[in-house]
Amino acid sequence: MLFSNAEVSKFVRENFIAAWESVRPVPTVEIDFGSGKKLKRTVNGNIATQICTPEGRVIDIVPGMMTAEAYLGSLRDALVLYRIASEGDFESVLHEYHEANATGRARFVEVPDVAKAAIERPMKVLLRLEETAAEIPDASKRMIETPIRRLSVEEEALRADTELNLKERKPRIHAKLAEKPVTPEEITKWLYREILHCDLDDPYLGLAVEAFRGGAYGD
Amino acid sequence: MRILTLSVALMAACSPNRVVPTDAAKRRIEAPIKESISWMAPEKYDLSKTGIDWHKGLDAVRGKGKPILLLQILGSYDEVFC
Repeated sequence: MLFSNAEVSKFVRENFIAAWESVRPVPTVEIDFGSGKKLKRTVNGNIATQICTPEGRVIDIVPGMMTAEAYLGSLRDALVLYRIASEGDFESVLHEYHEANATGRARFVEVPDVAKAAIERPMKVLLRLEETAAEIPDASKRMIETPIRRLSVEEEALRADTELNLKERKPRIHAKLAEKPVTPEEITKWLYREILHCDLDDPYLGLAVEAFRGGAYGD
Repeated sequence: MRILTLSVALMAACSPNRVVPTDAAKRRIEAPIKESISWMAPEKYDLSKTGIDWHKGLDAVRGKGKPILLLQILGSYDEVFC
């Protein structure tokens, strides 16, 4: 489980104040085998992590599930972005960062040790615009491209989710966050509907066609 | 060759060990269910076991002076499937 990873847990404890919220109850499927044994699975659930300022303004969003390494990298990037933006024009820095990342042209370069830099000198925006294709963080990229051992089916699925979330979903989130400053209340429905394909206003969460194929809806 | 193929098919159909296909519609409905339960169940996890002090809701952590990590889930605190 992602937050039971020691590094992730430590990083979150040391750098953030953590909160959770349930955006809706999770749909479940229960199979009764008729022998007293039952099997329960969730359907169409997904998580999102919104990194916010202490006042609750969205700095960045990490969509869905990913490897601990990739997740940690995303949190680190968001934290650095927050600290750099706090030293300058907050709105402009965020806008510039998200706009550049919407096209995959920007990345942090040689980010100094944040605590040390905060003490010793003012921080500067460290964005380098590159005319290259969208890149995912090096650590995640290495993990995806060069496995050192045969992965389990679940690990393969998580790596695939990681790649999807970083390469396809993140640029769209960056584009949205570049439009204007938002709070989680303002962006959550869009996030789940457009990015995670889980329309919170749909009572069937997009599963009606599959659930009732060839039959009538339940109500 | 066609006669040989037909003969083989007839022999298979008459064999006492032949596999009788189930109803196609039934297979269509049950296949995705069987596929889904063939996966190992994701661990149902309780966030309280992460060592992180989780607060309920964004309002509980606003104005505390630290950047906020807001985890949004479907379901409840002690039922996170990830």
